[in-house]
Amino acid sequence: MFLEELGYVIKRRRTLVSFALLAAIPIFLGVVLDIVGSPGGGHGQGPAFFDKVTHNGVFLGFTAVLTAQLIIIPLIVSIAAGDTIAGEATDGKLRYLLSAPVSRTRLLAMKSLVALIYATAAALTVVLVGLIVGAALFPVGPVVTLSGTQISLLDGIWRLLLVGLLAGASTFSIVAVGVFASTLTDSTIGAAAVTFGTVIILSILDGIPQLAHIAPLFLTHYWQTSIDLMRSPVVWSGILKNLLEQAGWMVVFFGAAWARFTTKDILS
Amino acid sequence: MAELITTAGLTKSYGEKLAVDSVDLSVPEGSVYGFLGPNGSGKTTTIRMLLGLIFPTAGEIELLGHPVPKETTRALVDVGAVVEGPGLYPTLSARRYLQRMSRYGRGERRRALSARAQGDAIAVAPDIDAALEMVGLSKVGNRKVKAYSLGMKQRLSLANALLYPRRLLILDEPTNGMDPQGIVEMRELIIKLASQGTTVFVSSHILSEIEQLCTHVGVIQHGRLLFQGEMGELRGQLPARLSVGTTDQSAAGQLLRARFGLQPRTEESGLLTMDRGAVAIEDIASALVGAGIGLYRLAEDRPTLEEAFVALTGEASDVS
Repeated sequence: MFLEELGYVIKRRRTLVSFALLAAIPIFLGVVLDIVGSPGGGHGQGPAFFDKVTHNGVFLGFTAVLTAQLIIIPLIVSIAAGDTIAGEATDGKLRYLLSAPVSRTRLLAMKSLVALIYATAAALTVVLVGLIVGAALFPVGPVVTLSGTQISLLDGIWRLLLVGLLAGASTFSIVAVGVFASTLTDSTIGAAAVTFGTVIILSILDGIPQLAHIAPLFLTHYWQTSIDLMRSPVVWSGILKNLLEQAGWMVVFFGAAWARFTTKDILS
Repeated sequence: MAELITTAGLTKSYGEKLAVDSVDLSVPEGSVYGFLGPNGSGKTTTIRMLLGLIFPTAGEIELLGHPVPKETTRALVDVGAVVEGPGLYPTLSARRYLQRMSRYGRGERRRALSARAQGDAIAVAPDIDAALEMVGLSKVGNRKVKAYSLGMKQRLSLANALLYPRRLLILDEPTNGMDPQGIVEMRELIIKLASQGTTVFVSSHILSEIEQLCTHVGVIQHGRLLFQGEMGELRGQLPARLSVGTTDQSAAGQLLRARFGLQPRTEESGLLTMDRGAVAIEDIASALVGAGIGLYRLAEDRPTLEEAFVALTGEASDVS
């Protein structure tokens, strides 16, 4: 049943389009940089590491994933998570799935797990395509960290993959919120919109100084900490806080989704 | 005989409205049970509760000996269901749809299999080809479902219910949207499955469909079960009617009134109909002929399910 669910999601046209969109980000960034060259102003202009890409292609992956992490990955993950239950409820498919000998808890767990894998794959796609395009268009070599030290190319790639995994894990809270929203409605679009709206509102609120004392609770608050992997030595505290944040949101919203879905009358 | 479905005081309310009101169902193994009622009478709500899709407000359900909703999944291993119209994936082919559905609940099916005695084994592998064949979709099995007509979609939903050999089929309005040919085939299929030992619980608002295949019947209206029992019992609630056609209907009417104390009514067709009570048909015939009245019709009509139904519910079953 798990493999069926995974295969079903992978083969959907929506998935293909979403991942093509994700892959387009590093391709687009790389091609633009290749044509117009690096911006002159140095640090502070454009996305993180944007000015370093032409010197070392490895940075394309970093730039791409840190850019995609802000809007496009949360959007795609919101849609996938919002679809989990609501997508089946559309056209009355859910009542047939549940007429098979499958407990609701199991169905929800399977669907959630597939959505988490989807979210991780989304972030890794950006990183891997970035790595390939970066290597194809620009020179690659040992990586200079934010602290100014030099690490080997292999170490740099390794850290890039970790940044990708963290970008994926940073959306696990979105998956949880999306799955919960998905148990409340029969409309995928509705669930996805509410989820993505939540992310956007929280990231706006996150920027308001007056809310600084509650901002650490927002699921977006520690997203940028993955950049700490590029320090030497690596600064782990922010990254761990992010993972803790994600876990907290998952407990609350997967819990709410479970409570809702296992007691819900399936009327669609 | 074991009961495959029993409910006690089954009730579902939505706020103030009682959709299902203290229903006590009893569906014996081996029966073809027709669950009849007008639209909105509570049929689908009841069926959804049987399958654990919605939760009762009050009352108990036992499905194949398992309490629902507590042990729903264990019961559903042996149940195939069509619930209120198709629920399909437009972009999948029929074959792919059945493959997907067959993979749901495989773990529970395997567990149930290993827990059982060998002689009572259930199939773990689905038979997609056989299911498509049974519902007459073999030739279009690779076509995407969005190209299907409603009748074909309905057939595909039924194929899903037939993926595995089942002890019980729960079919909610299975002929909805089907053409007359499809309805005939559906009826034949149900009869065939029943002859192989499958118990069938089938709901409908079209009585003529049910009449010819059910052994048992339950009549529901406004959420209440008005009647439950064997088919003959329901018909038996209405006396057989005698209809008489003669060359002089008014004279015949007077004679039947005077001689036998009967109360004939004149139908639109001109025939006289009456409940003959204990009066023998041959006595009526000889009396009429003896009085020199030309007799061209003397027939006893068994009440139709429709008539029994109307007598019970006080209204026509449906605009059908």
